[in-house]
Amino acid sequence: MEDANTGELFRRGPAFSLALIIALCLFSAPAISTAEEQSSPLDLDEACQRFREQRLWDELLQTATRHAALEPDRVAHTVRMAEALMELGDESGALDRLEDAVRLGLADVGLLNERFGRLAPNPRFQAIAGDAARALATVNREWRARQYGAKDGLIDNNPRSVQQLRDGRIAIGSENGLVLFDGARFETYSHFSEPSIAGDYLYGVAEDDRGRIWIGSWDDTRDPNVSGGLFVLEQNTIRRLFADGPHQAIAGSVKAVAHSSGSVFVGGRDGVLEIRGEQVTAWGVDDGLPAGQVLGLLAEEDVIWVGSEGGLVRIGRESGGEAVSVFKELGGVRCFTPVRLRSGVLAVPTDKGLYLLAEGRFTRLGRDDGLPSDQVVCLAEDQRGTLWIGTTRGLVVRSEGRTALIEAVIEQSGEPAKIEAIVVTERGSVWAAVRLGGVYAVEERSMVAFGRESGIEGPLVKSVAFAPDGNLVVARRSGEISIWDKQAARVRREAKIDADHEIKKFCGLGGDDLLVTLRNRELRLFNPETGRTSDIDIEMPDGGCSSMYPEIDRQGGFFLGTFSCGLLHWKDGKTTHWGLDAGLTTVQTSNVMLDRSGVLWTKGAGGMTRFDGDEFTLMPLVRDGVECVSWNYAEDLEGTLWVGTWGCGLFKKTATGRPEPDDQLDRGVVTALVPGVDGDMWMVVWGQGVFLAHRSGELVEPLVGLHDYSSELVVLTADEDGAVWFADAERLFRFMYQEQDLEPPRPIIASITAASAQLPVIRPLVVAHDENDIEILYAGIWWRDENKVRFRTRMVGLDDDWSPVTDRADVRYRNLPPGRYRFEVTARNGYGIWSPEPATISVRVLPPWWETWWFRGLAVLAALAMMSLVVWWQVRKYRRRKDREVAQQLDAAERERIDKDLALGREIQTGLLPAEAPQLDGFELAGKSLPAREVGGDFFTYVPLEGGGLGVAVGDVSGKSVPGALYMAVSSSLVEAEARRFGDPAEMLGALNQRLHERLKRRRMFVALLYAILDPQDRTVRLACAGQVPPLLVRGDGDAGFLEARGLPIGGMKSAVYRNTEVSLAVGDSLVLLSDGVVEAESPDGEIYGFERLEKLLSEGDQNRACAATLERILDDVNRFSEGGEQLDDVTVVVIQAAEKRA
Amino acid sequence: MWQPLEIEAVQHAPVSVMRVRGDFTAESGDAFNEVFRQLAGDGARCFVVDFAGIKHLNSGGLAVLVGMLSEIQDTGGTLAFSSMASHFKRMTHIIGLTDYVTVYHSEQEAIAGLSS
Repeated sequence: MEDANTGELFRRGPAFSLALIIALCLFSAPAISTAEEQSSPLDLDEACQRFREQRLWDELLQTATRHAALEPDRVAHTVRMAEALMELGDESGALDRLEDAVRLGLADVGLLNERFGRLAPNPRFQAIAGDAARALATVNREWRARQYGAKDGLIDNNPRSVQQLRDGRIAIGSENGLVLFDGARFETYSHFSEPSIAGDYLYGVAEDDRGRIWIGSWDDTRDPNVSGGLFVLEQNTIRRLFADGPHQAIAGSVKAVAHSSGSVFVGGRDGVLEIRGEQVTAWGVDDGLPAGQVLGLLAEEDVIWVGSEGGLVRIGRESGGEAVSVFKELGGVRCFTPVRLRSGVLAVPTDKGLYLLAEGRFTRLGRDDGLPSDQVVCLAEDQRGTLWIGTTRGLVVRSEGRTALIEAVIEQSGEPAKIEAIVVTERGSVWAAVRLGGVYAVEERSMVAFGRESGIEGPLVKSVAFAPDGNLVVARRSGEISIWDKQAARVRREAKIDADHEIKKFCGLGGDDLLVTLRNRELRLFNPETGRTSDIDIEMPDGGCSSMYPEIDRQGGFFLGTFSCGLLHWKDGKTTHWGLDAGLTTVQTSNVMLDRSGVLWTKGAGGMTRFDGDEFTLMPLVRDGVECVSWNYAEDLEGTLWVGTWGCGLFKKTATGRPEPDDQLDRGVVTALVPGVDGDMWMVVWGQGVFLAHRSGELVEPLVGLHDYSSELVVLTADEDGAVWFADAERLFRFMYQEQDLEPPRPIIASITAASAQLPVIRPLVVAHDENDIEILYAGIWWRDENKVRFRTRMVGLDDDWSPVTDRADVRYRNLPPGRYRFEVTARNGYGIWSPEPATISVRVLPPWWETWWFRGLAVLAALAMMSLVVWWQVRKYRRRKDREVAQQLDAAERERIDKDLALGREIQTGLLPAEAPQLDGFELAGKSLPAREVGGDFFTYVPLEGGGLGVAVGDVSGKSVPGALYMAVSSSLVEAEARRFGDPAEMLGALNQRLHERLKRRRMFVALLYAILDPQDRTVRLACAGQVPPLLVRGDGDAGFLEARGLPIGGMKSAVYRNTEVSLAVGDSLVLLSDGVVEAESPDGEIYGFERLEKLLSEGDQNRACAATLERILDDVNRFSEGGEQLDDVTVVVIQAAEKRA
Repeated sequence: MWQPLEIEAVQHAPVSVMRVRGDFTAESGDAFNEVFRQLAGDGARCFVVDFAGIKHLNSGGLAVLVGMLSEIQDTGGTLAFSSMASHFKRMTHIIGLTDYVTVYHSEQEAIAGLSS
């Protein structure tokens, strides 16, 4: 801020001012030297500036020399000394001072060139300038610091230690307690809520390999009854260790805690403890440690470094023994926590500067080396080898031997920031604890702005082009064109275009010339190296064209898209013009782009236009039924054409496909599309911001560090280093993301609450079935900008897919059903890059007792038993049914086979029976046998006998079917044989009984048999009966009756005796021989046909019918009686009718 | 409808009564003979077959009775029938069984006749 009074004085006139300056420089020195605290550096700056302008070099040298030690202007005063010496002719002295200035951090190569240009031939100057240029990498980095304090959730603004835990969280030990910060929320443990933390000022914080956090506490200065000590935080609970001693080292204040290889080292008053499980080892003054409070510990594999109020101590444990060494060089120096640098050097912050121990020798860095103070409190080294040094007067970085103050962390409450602790996170963010200032997260800016301090003055044309040497060209509207040195970060040369009108736009043509568009719609060529302006002989349509958009054609010519004239092409003085008559659908072609195949893309009515050199083809762009208009084009590495539209967001078109809307950006005016390095794609969306479609991520918005500039942007230009450059009206901007920017966030699960109770997250979560309202808080550790982190979550076992992307850092599941789940959360950084692995925790909701495994098991067993019973019953039923079916099938098959056999048997049996009745004079005979089954046991036979008689037998084997048939055959044969042997029926039956009795008895079978011998001589019939139905005699007058003839069946009794019965027949008389199947035939209602029915049948009706008719009549009547039902028994009838003898 | 033969053995010492019901055919032989032989095995010698429940008696059934008679005669026992329908009685007569077997009007008569 300018001092108003001083400014007023200078405005009164040069003479008055000069007098005042001289007076100031001559008379203020004693005052300044004696009362530096009251002097204003601004006064000095103003005065010395005037000395320079008045070329009062002696005065400048004296003033600067006198105040060279004044912080923080040591560099500026040293440069002034150098300049004054140079002007006074002491070139060597000037170079000495310049060396000092560069050592102190001067890296402004532009300033060196500008003010000390006359020294340029001197090799020393060249070396100094080279050093400065190398230091530029450090100094020219811009740092951004975000402060977190009590207002953000810290427990207070007075942190004393800062550490990063293994899960990525930042642990902050503060005056009033411990804070764990995950980027989304602050988890606090204070002595107000945790009475076990008795002490205040948490200095030492270390995490061991079991995830326990060890905390060292300082004495409570407000309460003498409370002393600090050692605490451990485990599973959300803090407990105090060694509260009652016996270790003196931690009986009071613990200011240092370190962890290594399973041991925790604790630095207290006058000693150090090693805690390894239950084993505690102590070192104290008696072991060689200097008296006083231990201030810092570094535990390495075999060595423990102890920084204390008494100096630096090394406890060597090599070769199994122990050796305590005290470094005399640091005797009496307050040593803080030592740090092992990547180079192997041990760096020890002390109140006498930063000591570096290498190869047994110490070197020291202090104020003379650019540090703002000799009181170095803490130190950290980042992944790029930059040292971060915390002092009592601010935070500085040191790289390549140069130091730079982090201006963003320069003072708190009007005092220089006193840095208490520094930690570099694993991904490059630097966290600094500032006394009374909270915690600062410091990181390199991705965005750097260059303005007047770099030689850039507006109003600028919002165009940036590359000069042939790779540097940038910027231009003022008024016509001044500047070459901007990227390395020096300054304007290197300026030239003015020879034109009467303002520059509107310019672009490179691939050669030395720029194509410049003027306000009056004219074009010029301008060579920034030579400063030469030349006309270009392009033939414009009448009235000229507005808003021209050039695109070089790689053949020395260029296309021009316009806002009023269609498309133009220029090469070698020849202009080609295409308008509506050539096939364009609009004269507003605007931006044009040549892709790698040589096809030109430009705007079209309702889409975009493809031009292959011969014809224009309109390609519609339609999103949600709305026709869109293209505005910008870019081709990515895979040959996909990105199309930015006017209001419809982004479209993409593959080499062979049609343009399709891309949902990553579904609205907005895309004012720029610029391919970055390695497949990145930059785009500017009007009013929304700058987007980067990073090659490994998604499109995110707005991009980190660019959101403040989007509305000013018109064009981005990406260089080969991966930086994009753009200009607004006043400044030139460079944006280049850091590699650590791209690191994906580390997702962590911060806390879990079930049924209003917070549960530890280190174990699988197990809750009861009625405590199944679960809230899970999570975070994504990405310190570049935690506000840009986004999440997706899912409960595996419940959710089919990831949740939509959200910025919420918590999720709640209500009424989670009993079961086993796995909660997963993954996080995305500001560049759209997702964490490769999700953070997970197993969640198990226990079932109620009626859904427990044992209950279900029992229920299942019971159900199984029931099912088994049912199945057994069904199987049994099925088997039975199947058996029946099989039996039926077998029966059917067997039946079929048997039927065939029986049919064959019947045929055979039929063959055994007489085919026709024999001719016997005086008799007529007719016989028939109908087996009840296919084959039967009945038979009849005629046996011609010697002497002209005829034997007639009707037999019935007890047993039907095959056995009966077999015995029928046997019996029939035997009957015939025996009939021929015996002329007496009774004898024949007796003989037959004797022959068959034994065989039939074994088979329990019998043969009923009636045997009759017909004597044609006198028409007599002599017969004997063995168990067979006696014959029915039917006289010609109708008298019918069964004859009396009986006897046991053949086989019934060996001693059976048979008797003959003889009957004489007259013509017309009939004797009916039959088997019992006739008289035992049953009606459907069970009535027996019986003897009487047959007697009655034959006693009635015509008695003169032929015997065959009588036979059929009997069979018909029996059949009718049975009403066609099943024939139960074989039926055999033989009718013997007495007839007239033939002559 | 064919009805299987049911056999009920009733002891009226020294007479063993076999009450038969249903259809007495050759198919009934096994069942009838099993009861008969069990009784004979137990020492019975006097048998009465009571036909009061018989609906049907064919030649096959008569053959079974013939076989029974044969075995009883082999052991010197006695067989009688009772409660026979006339048709069955006639059949029994026709085949000559009545030469060896007395047919009583009723079971009691048969028992009494054989017990005397």
